[in-house]
Amino acid sequence: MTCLLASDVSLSLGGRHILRSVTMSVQSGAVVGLIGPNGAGKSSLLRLLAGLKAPDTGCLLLDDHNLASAPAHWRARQIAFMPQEVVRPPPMSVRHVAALGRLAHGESGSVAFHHPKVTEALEQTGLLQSADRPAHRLSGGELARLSLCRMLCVDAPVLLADEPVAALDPAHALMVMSLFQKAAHQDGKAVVVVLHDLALAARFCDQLVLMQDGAIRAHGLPEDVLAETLVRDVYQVTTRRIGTIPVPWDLCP
Amino acid sequence: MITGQQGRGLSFYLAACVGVLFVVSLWHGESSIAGVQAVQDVLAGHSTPGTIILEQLRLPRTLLGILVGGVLGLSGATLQGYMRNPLADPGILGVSGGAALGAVCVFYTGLMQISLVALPLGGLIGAFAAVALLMLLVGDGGVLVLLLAGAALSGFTAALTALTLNLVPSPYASFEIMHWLMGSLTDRTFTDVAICLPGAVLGSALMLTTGRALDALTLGEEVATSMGFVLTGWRGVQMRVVLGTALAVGSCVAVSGAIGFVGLVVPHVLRGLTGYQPSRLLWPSFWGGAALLLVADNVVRMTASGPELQLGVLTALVGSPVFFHRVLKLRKDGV
Repeated sequence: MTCLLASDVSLSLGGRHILRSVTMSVQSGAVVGLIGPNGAGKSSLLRLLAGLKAPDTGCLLLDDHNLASAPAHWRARQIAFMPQEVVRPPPMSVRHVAALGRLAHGESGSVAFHHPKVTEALEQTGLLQSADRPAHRLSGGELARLSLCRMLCVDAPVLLADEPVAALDPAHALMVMSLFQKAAHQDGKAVVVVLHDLALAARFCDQLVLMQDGAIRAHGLPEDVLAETLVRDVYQVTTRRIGTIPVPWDLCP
Repeated sequence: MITGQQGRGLSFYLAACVGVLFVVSLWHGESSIAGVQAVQDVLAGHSTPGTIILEQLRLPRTLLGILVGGVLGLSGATLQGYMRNPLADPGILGVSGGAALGAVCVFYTGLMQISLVALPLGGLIGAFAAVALLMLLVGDGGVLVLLLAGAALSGFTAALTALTLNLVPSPYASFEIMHWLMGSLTDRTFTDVAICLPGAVLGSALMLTTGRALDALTLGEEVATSMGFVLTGWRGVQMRVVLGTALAVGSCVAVSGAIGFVGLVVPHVLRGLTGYQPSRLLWPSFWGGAALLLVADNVVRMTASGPELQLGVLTALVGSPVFFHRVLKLRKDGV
């Protein structure tokens, strides 16, 4: 049972408070969605959870290990991270780029290239047919899926993804979110996803963390966090419900 | 699409090329010596004009050609991989400039009259001083800080070198300085090899440890960090890249002068053959750089009867057309 915990973390950059006393956790088998308006601190919190940055105060714990003092190679095998901005890779094949994910396990060359996890991840992300294509010629959406594929190749118990569906069409967005849900519910992984699409957040996340101005405004089940008054207050938009899913409808007057 | 598998034997072929060029470089020169006889005399311990030319002139010159060319190629590949910038070359860190300034100071102060070793030692001291300054400037900063610090240091050392040239009293000394700055392996001895070797070996070893991190960096700094690679700080990849490049290039420039284009063009030419994977480019770039410099040095020796062509000039003349071709091909491929 894996548990990633951010305990009372704060972060300032250039004198500006990015995160203020944030406490949240994610457990094995759950998909947690980080939502909130632009500049709310979602990506910064995700970077702290990934151990890429140390907080000014507070601590990050993964199964009682402090991330700040844990060896980098151990952390790399426990937490796989997908950044918001996907760097266009050099003219290597799609499979080569995916196989770079195995570097977290110290594997490279043909060992990584032929690793079963790489084939499995290519298949899961719908890229197996494109495995020999040059990665630098992929479309933005395909690149995002390749980034996800590389993350899955790490085979870590914790998956952190920053806006993984921002560049995807609805079909692929659903496919990717289903993948995260399956990773959590079937494979027992702990998943944190930064999302802007409230409908996807409501549909696929087990819990939502709503952030505003560097602090957590609400935390809990999607139906509670996406209450109309709360969404209206945080995003300054009105919503309409399609079934149980809230859809942003108009700017607040 | 080159998958990268095809790059596996490249190091072997290039090393074999260097082996052949090594033999050619020992045989070929201004004075014709009976090669086989000279080798037999060396093995028998006899001292003849042939053995003196072979042992004291051509062997150190050829070994330096391999070392300097190899280091320039390797450091070009390492820096381009680390900075993810195909324009990065060993001169970008300002360490070559520091070595050149150190050597120019030796010319200016006339220390060269005291000992011939003063010149490479001056270069080495200049290179190490530049490394120390670079480290202090960069600290925990990232790639951008490193690039800016290197550019600042390069500009500063170039200005001081120009100032020294400006102040030098004798036109002959000025000519000597200009000549040295163009780079050459002529008349180098085993003392030069001994001065160059420790820094070149240690620096190259440091650079060769960065392969996997360079692969991870093709996906960006955040992803590389998330995969367990520590990039900045005293134990980070950047420190190994900077210290390795600086030690190796500084040691080489101190004995050979500034030889341009090898570090820029060799990784470019070989990159496609290694599947664009930075870790697979390191050794081939070493051997490719060594081969290019040995070829250039042999061409320099062919023109020795006329006005002497400097090695740095020739590498730029040979490297530029190859580079032009590469640029056109990359444009056509849409890379």
